[in-house]
Amino acid sequence: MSDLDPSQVTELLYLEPDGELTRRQISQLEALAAASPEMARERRELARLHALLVESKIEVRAGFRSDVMASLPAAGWAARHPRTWWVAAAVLALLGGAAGLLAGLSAARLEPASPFVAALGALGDLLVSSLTAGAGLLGASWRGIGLALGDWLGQSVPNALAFGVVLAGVGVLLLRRLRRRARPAPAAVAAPSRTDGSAVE
Amino acid sequence: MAAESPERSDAELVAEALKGREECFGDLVSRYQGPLVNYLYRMVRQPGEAHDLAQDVFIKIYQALDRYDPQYKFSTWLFRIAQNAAIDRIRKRRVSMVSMDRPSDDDEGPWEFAGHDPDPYRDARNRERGDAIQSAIDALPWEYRELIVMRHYGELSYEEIAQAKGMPLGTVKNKLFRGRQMLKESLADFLTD
Repeated sequence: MSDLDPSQVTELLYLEPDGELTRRQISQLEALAAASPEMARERRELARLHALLVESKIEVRAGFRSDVMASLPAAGWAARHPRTWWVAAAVLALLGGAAGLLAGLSAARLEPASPFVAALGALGDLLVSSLTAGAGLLGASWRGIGLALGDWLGQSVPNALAFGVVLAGVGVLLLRRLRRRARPAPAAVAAPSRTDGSAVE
Repeated sequence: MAAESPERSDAELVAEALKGREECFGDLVSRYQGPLVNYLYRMVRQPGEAHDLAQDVFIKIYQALDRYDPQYKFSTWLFRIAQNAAIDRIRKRRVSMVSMDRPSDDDEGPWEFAGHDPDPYRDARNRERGDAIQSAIDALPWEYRELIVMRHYGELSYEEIAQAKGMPLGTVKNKLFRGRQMLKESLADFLTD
């Protein structure tokens, strides 16, 4: 009826509730249980033990997932990911493009061909004026560098625009860093001890 | 433990999370929160502490997500970190001289089954069984206890347990077999016809 020895039968009985026995092994156990009331009782008790352990599980508290997601910190790998930089890069590219356009208009000394171009030109002039004024104020309080910067900015439109682009880019980067840091910090977690000599992740 | 989502494996969810899709990490949390909380509950014995510890484990996993090696099972990695965290917590508790035999009076509540029964008798019976199960698990030698808890509450397969513990598959089966024999003896009153 079965080629299993008694110790193998016992081991299979205890492993059966895990559902990892082969169809053949289950058939062998069923045949043996049919012939032995004692073994059938043992099998029932083991099934009950399994059910008892399953029933004793606790429910995860409501909102656990949301709590975990809300407390995720800024991970190091996230800061290295391109998605962290694409907005800043896009703004820089946009500003660079605008600067190039304005510089081109200014260099060629073209008459504005349309109200839109005229508006762009006016915005450019406004930016230059603001930067020059700002540099002037800076120069008043920080004379050496300020004056040099003011002179440099006043020399040409491209210089002023390049400075504006750099300032805007730095501003965007700082804002993004601040947004990441504003998230709630995780609860302090002690470093796990090593139990098996393997690397702790 | 087999991935529950038929569409995406654990490794795929990790890859998506690393691309910035945080909700994919949320899917991993949903997939493993039950087994992890139950595993930790049986290790530290207090539901509130088990939840807090599970949250810490998920955060630790998230911070190290880029170091996950898809060659290995995510569950194995998760439970190895959980096991270390639980052991660390138990050690700290021992240092603070809190009894390891039973929770103290100010613990969050009794050990109980998932459902709250409106029948007072059955409710009391459930509590009695819950206490008996925890006592039986506590009475197991550590080498059997951790494997029993990993299998029944962490829902890890034999293979995953072997990987997490660095043991041969045969050893895992043998320890589970011995552990269950002891559990069966301790809980005999609840198992007989």
